[in-house]
Amino acid sequence: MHELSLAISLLDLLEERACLDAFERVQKIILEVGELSGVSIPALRQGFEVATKGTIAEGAEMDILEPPGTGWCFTCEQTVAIKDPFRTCPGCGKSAVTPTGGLEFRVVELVVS
Amino acid sequence: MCIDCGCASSDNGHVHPAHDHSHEHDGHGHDHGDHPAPSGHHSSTRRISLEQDVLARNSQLANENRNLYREKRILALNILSSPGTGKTTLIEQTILAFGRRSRSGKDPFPLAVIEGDQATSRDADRIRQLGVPAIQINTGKGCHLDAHQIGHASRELPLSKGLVLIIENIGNLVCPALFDLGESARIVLFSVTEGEDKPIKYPQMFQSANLVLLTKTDLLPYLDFDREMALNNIRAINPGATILEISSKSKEGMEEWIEWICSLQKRVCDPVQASGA
Repeated sequence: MHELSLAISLLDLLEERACLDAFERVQKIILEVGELSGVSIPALRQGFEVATKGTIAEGAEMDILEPPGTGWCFTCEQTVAIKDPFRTCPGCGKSAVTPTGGLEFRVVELVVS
Repeated sequence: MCIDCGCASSDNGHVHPAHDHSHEHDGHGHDHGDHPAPSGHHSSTRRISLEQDVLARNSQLANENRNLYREKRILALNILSSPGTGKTTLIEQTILAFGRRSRSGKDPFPLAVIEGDQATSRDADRIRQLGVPAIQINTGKGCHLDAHQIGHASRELPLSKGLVLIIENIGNLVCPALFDLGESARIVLFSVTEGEDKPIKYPQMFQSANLVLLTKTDLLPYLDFDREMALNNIRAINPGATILEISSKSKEGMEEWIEWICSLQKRVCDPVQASGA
């Protein structure tokens, strides 16, 4: 449910950039939404479509990169791949893993005019 | 339209028709090289490299709040939980307990409360009846408090040194976890009338907590709630969090909770003295 709030935050960011970088339309947004970011991509797309109606970003294409989830296991002393930020290490099954990658939720690049 | 700087950017001039193609990726990553820059598509089309967090604006405002609290030596507590865990009742009982504490000769703590709800000022009214300043924020369609709202509300309160500012967030275990308000600590309430597995079902919220309060413990004799399992679930998600058990009704655990606030208040509001200098 929070994806609509996130889409509005994204729109705020785009409108701020439109001032700073003097553009009038956003044609494409390249986003990074990490596997462990807690952001649902279909819900974000839907929220963005609703939030941007009548704005500089209406109809903008969204390219989403999904960095994989990784974490550090203090027992195995190595980085392991994880699909879920709050599970025990898939290697040793003992200790909780501290997420280190895949938490991103950011704009990488814009195509504007 | 630009809200922040008031510039007159608008859609006049050449407007590109909306690109109406959907573009789904099935969970695979790809690098930018896959997409040739659409140069030549239109002479004024250009790329802007940003590398900017979407929630950067909230984080920036949260840092401003944090700086304000630090400068004024204020302890800000963000109270979070699902609806119905007893957040407002706990805040009322906390105010009363601080009143008893100062009457018993200990240093009084100035208190203030920011109440977040979708609608009504009922909670702020309850707090004001106890003689404590309170601001009500109604979020309407919003499902969380953000740093912008808290910045404005904070400035409407008497920000005296040593103030304990209690922020009651919207009853919701999902969205408020993502929005930093500039608080000194996050306190997540978890009542014994909920399932023992709440912490593992809503891990992001519980992982962000500095303190988890297991509430309504006076009801334990009447429930099938497995207390040990609940505590283990909290520890599995967040081994670093302090856990206290409390009942606003029987007052069991209230003293430990007040002590927890007092010791944090000393560290935050009077750091030199607290470090033993």
